[in-house]
Amino acid sequence: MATAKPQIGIVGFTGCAGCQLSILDLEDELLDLLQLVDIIDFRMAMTGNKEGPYDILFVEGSIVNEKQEEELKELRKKAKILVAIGTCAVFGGVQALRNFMNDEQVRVRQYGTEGAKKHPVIKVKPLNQVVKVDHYLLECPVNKYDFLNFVKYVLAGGAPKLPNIPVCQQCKEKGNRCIFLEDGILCMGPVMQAGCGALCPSHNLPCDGCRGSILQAAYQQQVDLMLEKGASIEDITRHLLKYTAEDEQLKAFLREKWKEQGKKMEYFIE
Amino acid sequence: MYSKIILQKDLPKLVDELVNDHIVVAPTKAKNVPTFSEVRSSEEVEFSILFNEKLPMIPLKKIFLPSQQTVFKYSLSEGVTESCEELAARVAEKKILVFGASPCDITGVNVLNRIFHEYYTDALFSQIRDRTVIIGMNCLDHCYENCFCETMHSNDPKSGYDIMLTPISKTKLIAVPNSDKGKALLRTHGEIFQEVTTKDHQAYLKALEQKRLNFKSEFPVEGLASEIEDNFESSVWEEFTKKCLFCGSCTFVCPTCYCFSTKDNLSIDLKTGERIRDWDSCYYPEFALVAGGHNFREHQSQRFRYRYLHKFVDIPRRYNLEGCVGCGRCITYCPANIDVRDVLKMIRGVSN
Repeated sequence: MATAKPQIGIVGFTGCAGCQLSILDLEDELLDLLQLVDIIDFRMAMTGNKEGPYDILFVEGSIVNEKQEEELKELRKKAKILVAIGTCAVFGGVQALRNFMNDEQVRVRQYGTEGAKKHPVIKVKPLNQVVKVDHYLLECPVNKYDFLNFVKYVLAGGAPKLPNIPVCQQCKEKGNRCIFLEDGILCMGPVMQAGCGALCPSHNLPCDGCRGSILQAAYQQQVDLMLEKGASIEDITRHLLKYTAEDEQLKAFLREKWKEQGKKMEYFIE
Repeated sequence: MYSKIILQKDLPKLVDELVNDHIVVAPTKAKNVPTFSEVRSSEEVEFSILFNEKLPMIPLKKIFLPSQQTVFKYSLSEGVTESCEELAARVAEKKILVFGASPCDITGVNVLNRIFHEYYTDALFSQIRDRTVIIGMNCLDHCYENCFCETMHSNDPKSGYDIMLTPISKTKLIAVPNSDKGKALLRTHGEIFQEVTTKDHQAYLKALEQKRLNFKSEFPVEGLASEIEDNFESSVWEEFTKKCLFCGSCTFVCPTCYCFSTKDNLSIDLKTGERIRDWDSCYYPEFALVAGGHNFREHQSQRFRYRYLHKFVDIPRRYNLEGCVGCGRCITYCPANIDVRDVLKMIRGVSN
């Protein structure tokens, strides 16, 4: 029964569109996936899009102005299940670092003094600050297999379970050298979600936590250890908040940490 | 005499013969990390690891309990279609040969064998163990500062290997078989080996005597289990919890940490699937989470303590062997510089 197939939408707000591209990158599985679902809205990939109603709507990107806020609210009304995909939609993404700056400054810098007046902006928001989000799929860009597994589990009637393991596990499974232990690189792997296959540390790059932190992350121990090894709170914060500036728990923790250092947490990118 | 002599320079020749009829696993330096991996020729083997006695990061458990393993396959309409036993029976018949296992790693495999083969029969573990031949490389001294194998009685295993190579001079090793498989192997590759002379035998005895003198115990393990139990509520656990990152690295590099979780992988047509077990760590918050949402070890300090309870209380009592082999990997690879020996000493200090 063709009509019984769930109707799927894949849309994007402010982001790099990399999540949508990742889904398109499921080349070996896409045709099989289409046996299970009808993709009715996927502007990046096709014409003849239909704006709902959706059984599952996947939304990429963060919300950066009022118009987007309204659009997202409308989409929510048309979707049975709304899934935030990728770091921007889940945590705000790199652009959420803007939230540490003065709005006025941001606009003047981007659009000039005159232009700034025409471009009202709001704080960068992950989707769940605007609408109810039913599920979250992580990574920057979203992990295409997480996406595929999610669809499979929802259709099979099960509850998709995301891993909640730190990046260190996957580094050990892959037999990687520990770049924190051996090179002193500020790697946030111990407190950040794996699922990426320890992609960055496998290439000698530090984990900056694009999947967000694990449950009960040992922030305190991690930050104390790094401070003890001579890292600055500024550098540590840059790594921890790079992708997840709107992680309230992490931000609250860091504010306290800055206070302990006798400093007030502020914009730290420049 | 079953024992034979092999010249150090002939070890590569032996490996090159063994790869013809075995999957040979030996120490290599893949990704600049000492590691056990499958080798196709002696050129891939890092012999310096054997002689400088640096332990591969991930111990031999990765051969017997791989980080991911399918335990059964099922169909949503028919239930289990291929059981664990059937899967085990179907895997390749080619023998695995581990070349250059240290005595503590052999002891580690013996711990796993006791649990996964003798007490319970895990078909997948058993089939891999049954078709694996282990050639050990004897240690004559502590290999590095983190090694405390003598304390944990792990450097002289009586079983669990087929041949032990012991260096008796700068150029010679004696190969002592410890099973019929080992004897057969020495016969099959007889041309590489030489007969043991009286002088060689004396050198061997001298090496063993030197070994006995070199290894020192750091603390007695007698009574350790009870002392840890007595200090169940000790503040020492809390103190170390303040340092521990709960990254689980210690559990993955541990030769005797065998805990796993399971997950399902459904086929894209949603008709069939496989149950997969993969490594898990008791340091992770969801490790003791059960259906209904109750977590038996909700707090970090409970999880920190639990690993010590399992290693030093539960395993010795339940299986009658040490749960730790003293290889020191957990010390070497701990990003927070936590030393298991310090934890044990401080726990005992409280009781004294």
